[in-house]
Amino acid sequence: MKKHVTARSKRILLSALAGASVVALAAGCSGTPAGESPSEPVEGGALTFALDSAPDNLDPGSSSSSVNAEVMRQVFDSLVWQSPDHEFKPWLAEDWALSDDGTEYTFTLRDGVTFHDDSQLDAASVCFNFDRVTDPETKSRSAISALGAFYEGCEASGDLEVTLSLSQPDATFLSGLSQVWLGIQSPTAIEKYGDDVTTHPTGTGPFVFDSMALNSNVVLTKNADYDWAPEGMKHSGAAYLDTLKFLVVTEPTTRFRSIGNNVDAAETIATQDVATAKDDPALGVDVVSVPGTPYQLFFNESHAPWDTVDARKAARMAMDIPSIIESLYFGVFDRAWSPLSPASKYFDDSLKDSVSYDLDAAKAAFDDLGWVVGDDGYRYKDGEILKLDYLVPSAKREKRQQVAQFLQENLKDAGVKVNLQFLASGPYSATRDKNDYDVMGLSLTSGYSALGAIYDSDNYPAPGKGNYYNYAQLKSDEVDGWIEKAQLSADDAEAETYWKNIQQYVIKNAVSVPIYNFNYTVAFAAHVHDISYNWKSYPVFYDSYVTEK
Amino acid sequence: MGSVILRRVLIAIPVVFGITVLLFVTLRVLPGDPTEALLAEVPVTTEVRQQLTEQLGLNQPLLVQYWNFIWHALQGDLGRSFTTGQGVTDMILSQLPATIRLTIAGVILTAVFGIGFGVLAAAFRDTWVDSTIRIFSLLGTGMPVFWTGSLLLLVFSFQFHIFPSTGNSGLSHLVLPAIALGFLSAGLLTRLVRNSMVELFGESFVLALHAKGLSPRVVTVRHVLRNALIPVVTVIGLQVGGLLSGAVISEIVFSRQGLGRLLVTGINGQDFPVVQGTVLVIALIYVGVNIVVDVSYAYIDPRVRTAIAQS
Repeated sequence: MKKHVTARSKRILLSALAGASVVALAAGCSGTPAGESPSEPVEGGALTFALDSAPDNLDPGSSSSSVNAEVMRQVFDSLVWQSPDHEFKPWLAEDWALSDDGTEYTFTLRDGVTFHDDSQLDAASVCFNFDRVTDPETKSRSAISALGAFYEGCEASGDLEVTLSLSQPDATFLSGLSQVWLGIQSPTAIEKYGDDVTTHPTGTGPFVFDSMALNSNVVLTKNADYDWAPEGMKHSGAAYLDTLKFLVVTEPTTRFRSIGNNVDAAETIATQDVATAKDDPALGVDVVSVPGTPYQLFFNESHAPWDTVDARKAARMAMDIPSIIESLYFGVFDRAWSPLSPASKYFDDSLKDSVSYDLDAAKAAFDDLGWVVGDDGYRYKDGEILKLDYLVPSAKREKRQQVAQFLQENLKDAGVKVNLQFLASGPYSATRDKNDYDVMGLSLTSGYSALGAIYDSDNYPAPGKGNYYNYAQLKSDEVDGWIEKAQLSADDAEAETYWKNIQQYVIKNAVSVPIYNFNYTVAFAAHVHDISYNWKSYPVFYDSYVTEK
Repeated sequence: MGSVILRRVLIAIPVVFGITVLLFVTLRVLPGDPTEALLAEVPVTTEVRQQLTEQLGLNQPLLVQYWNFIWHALQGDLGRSFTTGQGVTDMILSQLPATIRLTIAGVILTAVFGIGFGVLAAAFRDTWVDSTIRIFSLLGTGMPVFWTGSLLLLVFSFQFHIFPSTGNSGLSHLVLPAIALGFLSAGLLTRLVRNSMVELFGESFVLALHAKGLSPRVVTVRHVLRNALIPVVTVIGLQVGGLLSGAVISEIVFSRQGLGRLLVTGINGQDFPVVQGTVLVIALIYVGVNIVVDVSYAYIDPRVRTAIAQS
């Protein structure tokens, strides 16, 4: 595959892997760590964690959904660890060196690391994993994306020495390696289980896979031999918990209300329940800021009148976003001001309060544009009604349907007729590819590079093209230039300028309207302590323990 | 008898084939691309996407895809899930026991409560017992499984912690979902049993039995109930189909494993092999239960046997 990478696809892949290198601001990332009580860690015990969807593929090489990543992170270690403030620390590799031309990484592996099946970690086993990811038979999605467009190959240059080569320098490579998708699996297990390796994960991590019942649960047990936790964790050696059970509870209310019944902690707690949990002394809550792009609405710039800045700004002024944040999210999600979330590296803090809700100004602006209010309260120009076809995919997620209905009312007050369309994923992508919408929403939990995926003119959606995210149909040479320079820039300060330029351009020209920053929420019973979160906001149970109920 | 069964099975074959054709075409005519669902939020190159399409066999002509599906299905191989790479047959077999357990528990509850309350209501007709039971049966037929389930959870799991709210490991996990499921058809059955018994009470043979000096209990249980049960057996059989579809919702409310959950996740992920396989198995169960009902009906009532044999 890597031999046929075109210029365009290179850039997209570049975006994808820069996503891997997303940096969350340390302040936003750790939230409230679970269990603040000063109790001493307790050895043993079991913790049941309720997931919001079912893990179905625990093979890092071929898996792609985030719920799988959450489980796999406890079972698999990667070559390098990325701290929540985005420093790279030794993990399975105790040291590494980069060649002068920036294209060869040489990793020295930690000695004495064993997989859960007692086979030894060595250079050959690492290369086995990387070769497998690039083999089309593996049907890799996230792993190949994390590896990047410039990856050339892996060579075992010694028993414990691995050399990974690139076709050109890539500043985001280490970040890709730190992701769970490139966690190292036991080659003997991969060979033993064949296609069924998706349900028999065998890594070197602090927890050992025990069993998996599809749509029900995954049970992990302590790896007593574990002695290679990354720097920055609260302790060393084996994990405290004997058993870590992931239970699938798709119903949000049940998931939350089951805490203290047959569940100890639960993820993705509805915003109204977070408020309840905060008031309940028997419960604790973590609200963790997620790197990536907030939920934002994109105006389709290929459709009149939304192809003019003034019309877009007028519509934006008519949107009462503060009320949405207050009434729908109860302070659990905060208002987004930039097309990047605050937990992302290169987030532009200066955009706060840069726009405001002003219905009168919105009306005046539409008046100036020649849209006259008719008898029905909607605006008309040359016999045409001022309308906005608003496409809402994944309407159930985070009350996006209510957001749309709220905005429909707001815009009606300003004389804009909003046609809401709530579509399932199939019809939605067909409508998107036909360019049959005026406004559409999206959030991407990846990182600053998502700005490239969203605003690069190469990435507008079209039939047969698939997941391309330039929903605004933005075609700006200026923005394209910044994206390219930022992605190839070796200098961090320089890259920061370009990424911030893009954020400012987006807000200044009302290319998209950021609504809310998505936060990952976990509620837990008082006897649960020290669930931590890695830089991608996935929970880590290595330090966790349970005290008596 | 054997010819009756054979005839019913032969009729069922084209039905099942029809379902697979319809399903196969529908899945592929509907907008949307499984590779897109698979890739979710992962931006990949067009090359990777094309490779994926080829590996999933989605670039082949529809007829070839259908033929492959049927040919392998006939050998018990329902293909491999797009998402997990697991064998669909294995996935279904892992979920089937949970659905069957739930359905059987639902049927038992339906039968016990439906018949029990029906008899009570008929025996004490036009008293407060009858009125109370009739109100409950009306509630039962009117309340959706989702609602009953949520209510049961609220009271017995969240408030009093008597039963676990999720999962499907033991008998205690089965109680609430089975009640939620059984409530609906128990309501229906109660009315059926009550009404047919009330009708029978007016028959002359019942009067004769009373005149013979038999105790009211013997008349009610031995004679009236026995006669009333003939249509009840058939209705319970037919209810199995309804219970299967109710089980889907019950599985979601109580976060249980099962065919319903498998089907829903398959549809959400546009995982064609999982959807095809699950629907095929559900269709086979449906058709199978119907055959059993028809055959048992024929067994109970000789007139039906003759009718089927002559058709």
